[in-house]
Amino acid sequence: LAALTGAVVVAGALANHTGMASIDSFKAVFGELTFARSTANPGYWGQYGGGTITFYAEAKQWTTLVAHELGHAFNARVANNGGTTPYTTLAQNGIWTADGEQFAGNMAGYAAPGTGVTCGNGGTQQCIDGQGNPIPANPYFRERPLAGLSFRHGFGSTAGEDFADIFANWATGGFTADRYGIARSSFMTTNIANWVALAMGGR
Amino acid sequence: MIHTLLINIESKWQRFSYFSLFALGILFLAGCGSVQSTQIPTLQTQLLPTSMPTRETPQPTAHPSATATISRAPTWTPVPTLSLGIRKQNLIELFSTNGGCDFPCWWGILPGDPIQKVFELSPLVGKSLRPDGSSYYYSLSLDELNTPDLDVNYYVDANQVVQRMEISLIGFPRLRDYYDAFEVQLSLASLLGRYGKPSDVLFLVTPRFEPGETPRPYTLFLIYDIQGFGIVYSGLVDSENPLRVCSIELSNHRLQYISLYLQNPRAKIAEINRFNSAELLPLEQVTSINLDDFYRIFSGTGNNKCIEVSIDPWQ
Repeated sequence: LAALTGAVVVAGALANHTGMASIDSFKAVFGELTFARSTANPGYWGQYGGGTITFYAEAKQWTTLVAHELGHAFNARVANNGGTTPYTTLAQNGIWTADGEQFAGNMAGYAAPGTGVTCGNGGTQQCIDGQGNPIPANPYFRERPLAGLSFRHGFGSTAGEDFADIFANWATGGFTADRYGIARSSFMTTNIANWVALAMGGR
Repeated sequence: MIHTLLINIESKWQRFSYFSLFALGILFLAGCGSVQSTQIPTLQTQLLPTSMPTRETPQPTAHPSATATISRAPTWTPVPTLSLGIRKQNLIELFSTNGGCDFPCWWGILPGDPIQKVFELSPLVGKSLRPDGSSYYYSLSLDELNTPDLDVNYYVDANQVVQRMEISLIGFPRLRDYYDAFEVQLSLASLLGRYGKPSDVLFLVTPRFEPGETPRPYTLFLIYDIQGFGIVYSGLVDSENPLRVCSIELSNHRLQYISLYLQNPRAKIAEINRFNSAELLPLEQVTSINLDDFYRIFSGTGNNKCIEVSIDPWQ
């Protein structure tokens, strides 16, 4: 029942893009999806894999946690149907504020105009300055705290965890009202219809 | 069982620029001594012939409007383009001196100042002050990577008077040129040395949501009620339970970000809790030390101490 709340919230958000009722939208987008409850305590709350979301003994904050895991499931559904996944879109396109500031996305391929800085071509170092010196940088932008999200259930600088948190904040109305939240909202608005169509393609 | 462990760790850097201190002392002589009479420092504003570099292919798309709007906005003025070297020099000086004032003042701006005064910083930092809902902000890159390393947000009332400020600083591994300046204003030791024992020290360990999430992120929140500011240090540690959190050094690559809340810091507790999906808890609840111990352990220069924090309350 606890997981149901999160699923209902996500289904309601998806219904805005499917033209179907919430429950039908959920079935169409996620196909066959299993929710499992485990009494084991592995030291974390939950995980998604192979069409199953497993919640462990210490899981809490169900609505947002379920929405986060459904973000992973959503990506898998798009991937299974052969589409460009949300993870890839996020990593490659990044997210930009309205005034041209990137704060999410891969560093690889990034070039700071006028500075000679290029990224992604320096072996273990992600970026190289105009004089050929390495600049320490994470492979993925995810350093800024509270950048548009009011909660997180993923950690680590990866597009996958960032997207699952974006998806969960999108579904639950969690984007902040500042430039970062507006940019994340815009990222979802721009892409969600296409992703939903891709996710539904294999039902 | 909770233990307190004091461990000596060799300090990685003790560098200090006497020249910078001397130069900054001259630059900000007029601003020092009185919080109420702070002035925007005059730093270098050498003009370059080229325009400000911009990011490749920004993708502004339709988006919902913010809930609040700025009214009676000040007049926009052109901002000169600065070379990276001059901009960095200006920023280092601003970090080093803080405009000659103490928190909750930031770079010479106090809550209660008109937003117009904030605009005067633009030529120094080489970037326009921009509106964002009910606030204004500078988003500044501190090096050649041109990524947003520093956010300075000014929240104003209907009369365009600054009510509070929030500062967020990230990207420490890249910012070696700033380490000395950061140390002066933002390190835990200098903070405790300058402002004394905090009113409260809160701690939060972010839960492990999914497998493979190592190391553990923590949030340390110091609140100064009398002065009216709070500072968050958020970093990563490898240890499990108890977590061993050592002296907060700005040169430590495990430090992820610092946030400063200048005015009414306790109002941020709920937001921080929600973001981390966990609750900030008093130091005394998660360690075997009290506020006096914390102050004694971490204040003073060259402190190389650690505390151990039980993660049981967040499990």
